Amino acid sequence: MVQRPSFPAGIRVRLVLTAVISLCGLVVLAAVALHTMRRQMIDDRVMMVRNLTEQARHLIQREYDRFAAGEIDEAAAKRNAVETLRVMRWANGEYFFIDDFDGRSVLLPIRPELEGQDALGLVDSKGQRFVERQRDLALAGGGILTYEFNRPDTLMPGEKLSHVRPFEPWRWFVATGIYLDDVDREVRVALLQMLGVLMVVALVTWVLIRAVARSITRPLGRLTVAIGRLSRRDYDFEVADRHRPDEIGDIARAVDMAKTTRRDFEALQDELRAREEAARIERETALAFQRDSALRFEKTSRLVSMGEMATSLAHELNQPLAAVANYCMGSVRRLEAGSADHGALLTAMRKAADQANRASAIVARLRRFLRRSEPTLEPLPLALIVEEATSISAIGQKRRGSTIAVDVPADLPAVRVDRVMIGQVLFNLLRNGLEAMEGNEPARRRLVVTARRAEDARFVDVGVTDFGPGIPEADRDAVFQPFYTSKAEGLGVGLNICRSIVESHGGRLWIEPNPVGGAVFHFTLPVA
Amino acid sequence: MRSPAVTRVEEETVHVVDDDEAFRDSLVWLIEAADHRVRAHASAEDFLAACRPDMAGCLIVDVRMPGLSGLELNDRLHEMGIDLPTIVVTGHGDVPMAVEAFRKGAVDFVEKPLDDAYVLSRIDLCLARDRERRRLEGRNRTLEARLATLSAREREVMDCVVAGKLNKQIADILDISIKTVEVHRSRVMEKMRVTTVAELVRISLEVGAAHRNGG
Repeated sequence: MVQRPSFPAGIRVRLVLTAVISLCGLVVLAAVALHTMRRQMIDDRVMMVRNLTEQARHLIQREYDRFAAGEIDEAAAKRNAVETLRVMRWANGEYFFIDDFDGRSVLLPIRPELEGQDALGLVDSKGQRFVERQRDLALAGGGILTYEFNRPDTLMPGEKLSHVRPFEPWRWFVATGIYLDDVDREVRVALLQMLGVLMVVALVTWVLIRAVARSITRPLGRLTVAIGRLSRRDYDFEVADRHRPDEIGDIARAVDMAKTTRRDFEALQDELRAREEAARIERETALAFQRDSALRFEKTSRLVSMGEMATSLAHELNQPLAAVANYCMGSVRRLEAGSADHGALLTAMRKAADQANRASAIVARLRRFLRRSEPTLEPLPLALIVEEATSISAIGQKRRGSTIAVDVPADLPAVRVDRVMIGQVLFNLLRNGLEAMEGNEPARRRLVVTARRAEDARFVDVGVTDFGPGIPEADRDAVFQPFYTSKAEGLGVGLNICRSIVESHGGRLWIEPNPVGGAVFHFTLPVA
Repeated sequence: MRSPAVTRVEEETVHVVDDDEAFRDSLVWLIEAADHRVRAHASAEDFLAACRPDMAGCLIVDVRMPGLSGLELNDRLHEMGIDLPTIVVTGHGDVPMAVEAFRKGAVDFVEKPLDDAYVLSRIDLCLARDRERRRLEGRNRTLEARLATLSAREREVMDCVVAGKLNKQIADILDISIKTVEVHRSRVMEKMRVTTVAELVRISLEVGAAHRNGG
């Protein structure tokens, strides 16, 4: 990229360029005018020379007429004509001269000694036989011609323009001319005058342009500097030219306003940043404290969970165990009474064995759930974790009339989680949801577990929807505080731990209201 | 044992109400071992649909069930005037439920897993109570029928006898001759099928009690 000249220099250069072009135009105009003037002057002189030559011929004609009338003889007439013309001068001492058709000089006022001599062979400095050309022109009827001839004043050769007219009765031709040097001299004078005027005009223009350029480029330069400082976030300066009434003043005022606005804005921004930073530190401190608490209370929570689960387990195990006892004792009594039907006994014993298996399956499920091991992240199908958690939560719940609906798409990607920890999170949320709905009529004791690909495709979004009283918006953060509880007997560490566990997996845990009443607990888990 | 006057409406049956199929089935198996007639119901609602006012036997109901609970079923039966002896079965640790069960007047309360001997003994007890209840109900009905055969004058004479009046006093009160009182009195003793005044007094008390109990 070509480095562009700075803005003020650019304006000055352009202004000067404009002035120079204007001056050039003036010069060309002057040259044309001078040339026209010279042509005009020459034309004027040609006219004058022709008139004068004509008058001279008339003068000779008059003397000839007197001779023809017999007033004077021919020699006197010729002498009168010659002598009259000899003393006649015009302009810068220009004179008339007469030669005859043979090229012999009749009248030459500046060199009378040459009169009577044959001048036909004379040549000028360019080698022209100008007398012969004059005579030939006269013989042809007369006209204008130029040649060189010594000036009468300086005796130096100069370009001369002459008009020739023949006077046939005496075989003469009369002529007069001017030196073109004189024209050129006059033109030169006019040229000098014009140059003088031009110089003055150029000078005035130059001064004006300089003044205008300075009045623009200087404040522009200052404004450029000001804008530069603005862009470097330096606001500690005054914007000059603010009080000018012209466009520069407008720009200066705009720059000043930009300065003020930006300074205030940045001050606000700094304040905001400072506040955000303070808030962040506060939040992190709080979070760190919360995490500490979370870790400290995780064990408690686990024990609480275990206690609650043990109660549920006792209920659930009671069913198959009681059934086993019934089958057995029923069989024993029949055997004792001797009323045993072999087939019926066999069926009863098989049923008893089935119930024993049912009991051991429950124990195995619980043992797997409670197994304490180091957290290990492994890719697992979410459906498996959901199944484990819901089957344990469902213990005893069916008997209270609650149902848990599960909607986990089969094509959901596996998640990378610790099976036990996330299982406990889900168990906690399910238990919370079920407890929240204990006051509901049986038809509305319904929990829905959903799983979807999150908007951020790196995560899976799990939702636990209940139809309980819901959680007021004001409490939606408070429920995650350690020891927050809405339950009379609860310890309140559950949700706090849940959030810590989910966050330790890189996910999030939050609450949304259920549009038809109740709460939706959402959490995200990373896709494996 | 049964009073011949009681019409046999239904066989004595133990009704088992529990939502857990395995437990229900096993309980049937156990009770059948004691030679009882057993009918199983999967829910309180099922039982209500099948029950009749003149049911005989007893009820074993689980306290926790989807829909109506065991205690709610007990309330409902009471409202319907069905007075079936009830054994409430609870899971482990449902002490408040048990208290509630007793308060509601359920006959008994057993905990899972069941002690077979205990349960069967309680069932026997319930059935005995039911039998007694039905016997009393039957006897009351008989006595009422006998009372209904008395004429108005005979009834007046009986009330006076029961109240301990002598024949002469009765004659004065009712403004009839002693001879007439004696005739009415012997007709009352005959119709009520008693031989002594003491028996007549007892019967009159029983009928009165049945009336006071809203029977």
